[in-house]
Amino acid sequence: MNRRLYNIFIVLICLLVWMILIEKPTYLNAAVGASLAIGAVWFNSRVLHHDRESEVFRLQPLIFPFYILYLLLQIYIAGIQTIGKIITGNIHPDIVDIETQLENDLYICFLANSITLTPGTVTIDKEGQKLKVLWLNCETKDKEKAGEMIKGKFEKILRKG
Amino acid sequence: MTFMFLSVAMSVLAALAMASVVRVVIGPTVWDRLMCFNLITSKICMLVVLYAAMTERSYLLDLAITFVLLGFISVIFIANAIQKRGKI
Amino acid sequence: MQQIIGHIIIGIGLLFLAFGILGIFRFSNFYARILVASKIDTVAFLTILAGVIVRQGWSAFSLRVVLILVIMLLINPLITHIITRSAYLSGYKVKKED
Repeated sequence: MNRRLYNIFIVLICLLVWMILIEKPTYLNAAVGASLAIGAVWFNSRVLHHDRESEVFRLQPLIFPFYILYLLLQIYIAGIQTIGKIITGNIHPDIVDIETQLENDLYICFLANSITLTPGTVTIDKEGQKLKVLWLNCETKDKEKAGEMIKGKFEKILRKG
Repeated sequence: MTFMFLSVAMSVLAALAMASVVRVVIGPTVWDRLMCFNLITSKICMLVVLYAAMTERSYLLDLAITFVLLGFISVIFIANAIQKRGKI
Repeated sequence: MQQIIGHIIIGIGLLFLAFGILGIFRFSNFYARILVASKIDTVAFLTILAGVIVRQGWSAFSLRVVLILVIMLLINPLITHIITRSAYLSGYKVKKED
């Protein structure tokens, strides 16, 4: 994915948000939204960023619907388990270090945000490929077992992309 | 009937927001207060969405979007300022 | 019929939210509180907004609610992460619950 394709993608997303907010899909509204989106992207890339980040990450669009469905399922499962822990009250919060095999920085960001979004775990810090995770029910401090229990299938799905 | 249910739901939401205000007042650390501030922001957002659904006015949802974004920016800046001990 | 299903889903979301508030007052450790409260809040937000979407059906209103949902899913982990990171880097210790 090169720079121009990336900019076109951003323009399309801005246009979609504009059309949702304006609620009347006419050609005039679409033209105004498209020109505003192009102006915003041009301003952002020329004036604000000075082309500092020349690296554009590669994304696989096909895995994302599956990933989001799996994420929603995991959020509900972990939420119900957390309600059980609130009622019984036996919790052992602690901090564990885990390691990931992903190399792309964007995918590590997705993985960390998914860990934070799932109830019961919060990512605190990242250094390279090591993540520091605060865990509600800390059963083991071993790096591999804890990583297996926290990351689950998220990492496997992301590694395919 | 639908009017009744949404009114009751909004009252329950307001009561839960007041319960979080109690934690803001008695919270021992400053991070407790920040956390409950975030909880109150999201509850007010839900309240606005339910009110917009009750009265069928979709322009009220813009208020909800603005509220979420303002709460996000304020929490991020306050937490960063505490972490750096007042120096931004 | 559609409205009744939406109301039931909103009721389930309120139940999740009530358990989150119970968790805030039950634990005495800050880390346990933030783990419990913010996360139950995510689930409750998803459930209540899904209930509103089911109640309204396919319209411009639902599309805007979906936009709010996407924004909230993007920024909610950031808020939780930055509060916990601020507490951890300021030297707040993880204690066992007493």
